[in-house]
Amino acid sequence: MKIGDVMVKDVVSVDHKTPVIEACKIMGEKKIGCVLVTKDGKPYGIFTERDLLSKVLLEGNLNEEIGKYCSAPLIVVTPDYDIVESARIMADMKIKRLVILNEETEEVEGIFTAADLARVIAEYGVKELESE
Amino acid sequence: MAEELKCGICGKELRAKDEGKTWRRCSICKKPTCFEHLHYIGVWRRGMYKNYVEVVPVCEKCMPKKRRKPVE
Repeated sequence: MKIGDVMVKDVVSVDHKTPVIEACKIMGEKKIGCVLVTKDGKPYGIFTERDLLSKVLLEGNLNEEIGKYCSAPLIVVTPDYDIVESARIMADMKIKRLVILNEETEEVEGIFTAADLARVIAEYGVKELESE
Repeated sequence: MAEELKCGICGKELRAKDEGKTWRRCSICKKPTCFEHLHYIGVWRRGMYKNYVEVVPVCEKCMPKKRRKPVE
């Protein structure tokens, strides 16, 4: 099973000038751990719970623009990676989210997180994922 | 003649059909490498609109050494 088959396609994105507090409200309402940050309509970075804790709450201001605190550049993968390998990538790189980018259009196709990995394992089982 | 597939690090025999499941080619030296000896690094890609970091597989031999801070 490929990462492109199970990734979350409706990625929530905000402009880099959006205040952090507004992005936090969106994350709370939609029960998500990150939002994609765009600049001039193109993907620029990602703002995660970790950014909120380690950057904004420690040394920032919730009313400042999100572009100042988001993680950039984006770390991306192509959608043809296997689910099991995507887990290896997250473990090896010590990251919890993979942004899936279409290399031709440079558009973000989706996002695959450690929580999505847990969902897929719960749905299909580890053995089934390994045997595919 | 078909290429003999062996892990470039440990010499373990690999099957062509298992590429992406149990092994991949190192993106630097291009040698087949089993998952036990494969790591992932981010490399800069220059896009048309934006530069980004793409995850690529590398073998243990090609894995860049971490830069240490100079000791004063």
